[in-house]
Amino acid sequence: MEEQELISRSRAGDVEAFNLLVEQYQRLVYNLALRMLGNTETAEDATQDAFLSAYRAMGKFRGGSFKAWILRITANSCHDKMRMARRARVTSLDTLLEVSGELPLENNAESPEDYVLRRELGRFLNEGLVRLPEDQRLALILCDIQGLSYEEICQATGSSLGTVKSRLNRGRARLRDFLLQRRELLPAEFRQHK
Amino acid sequence: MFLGGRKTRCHKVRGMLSEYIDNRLDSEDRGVVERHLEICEACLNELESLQMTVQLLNQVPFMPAPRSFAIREVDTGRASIFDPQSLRWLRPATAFATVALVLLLMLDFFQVIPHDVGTGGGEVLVEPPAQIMLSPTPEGGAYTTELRGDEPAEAISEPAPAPAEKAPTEDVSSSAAGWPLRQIEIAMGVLVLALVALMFFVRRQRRRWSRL
Repeated sequence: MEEQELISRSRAGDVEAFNLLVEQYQRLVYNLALRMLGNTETAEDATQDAFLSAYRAMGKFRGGSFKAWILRITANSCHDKMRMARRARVTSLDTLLEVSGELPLENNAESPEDYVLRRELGRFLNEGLVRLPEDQRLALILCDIQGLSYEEICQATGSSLGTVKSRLNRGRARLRDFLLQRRELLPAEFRQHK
Repeated sequence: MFLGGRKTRCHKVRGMLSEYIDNRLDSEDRGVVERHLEICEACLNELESLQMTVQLLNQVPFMPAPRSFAIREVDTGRASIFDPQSLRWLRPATAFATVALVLLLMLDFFQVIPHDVGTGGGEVLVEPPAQIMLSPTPEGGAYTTELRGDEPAEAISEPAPAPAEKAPTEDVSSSAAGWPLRQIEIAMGVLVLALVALMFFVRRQRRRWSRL
């Protein structure tokens, strides 16, 4: 069934049609929540909240990219979770960083030392992401991890093109500065950067 | 002068590096960046370090969804009950009721509002409507009862009621002006308690629901 038809049926209150959309987008939505929040359990909650909010708001969907729309709802859901965590003061950075973030295996001949380094780098990268300001983090995840175009990021964040470019520029520079603090974790070809 | 110009150029080029990496610059700006990178090692380093960051981010794995996030009919129904939007009124209503109760208790304490003391359904003590005097009749001998007040004096044969006689509440017009404060306070107290309990219940349900 085509996405447009699923959207029309969902707008009419068809839960089954909406669940087909959920199936299609849940991986994308979950990964955005996971990278934004850095915690699997909270990311699951945020993902579920996002889909429920989307179902209830289907009547307000005025066409355009459903992907950008659902990502925007997810970003709002993540924002709510972070605000709740800040208010409750129970979620420290340590609990936010439980995601292993293990980078994929590049070749089978990896030594145990390299494996440990790769794992450590993945964790360090997650920590760097979580430490970024929320708007810059969102732009970086959407662009460099999820591969959205600048225009799609504009729709998903409700920001202008100039704002998106600026957030990407500042976010990348900030993350780079964080990563260079522990250059021993970086792959050999990146260690010589000043 | 030369250094200042170069600094400005570096600043401008660094502002375009992110777009350069993403291939978003037009040919003119791209040419400006590339010509500058040929002569400026610091900006070249900046570019390479940013490219490294982007490459690392590109390698971050896409995790599979840990479970299905499909929604159920029952979830949507429950969601509408515990939707933060639909229960927006709960918190201000509780606050309003609490403030009203406190205000009421204070008014009661300082006796600002006339109190209905006959709230127990009994009777109230009332003053007699007029002063009663006993006077001898012109024929002498027997006494008649005479009313002296605003009304013209009128002799009556029956004896007047005692000055502090008890009269039923419904017969006395002044008791209607009093407020049944106790009942209002109790009702407000119950309302505040109910609203607070509802708030806790909804919070708990919402938390449980969000974990589903």
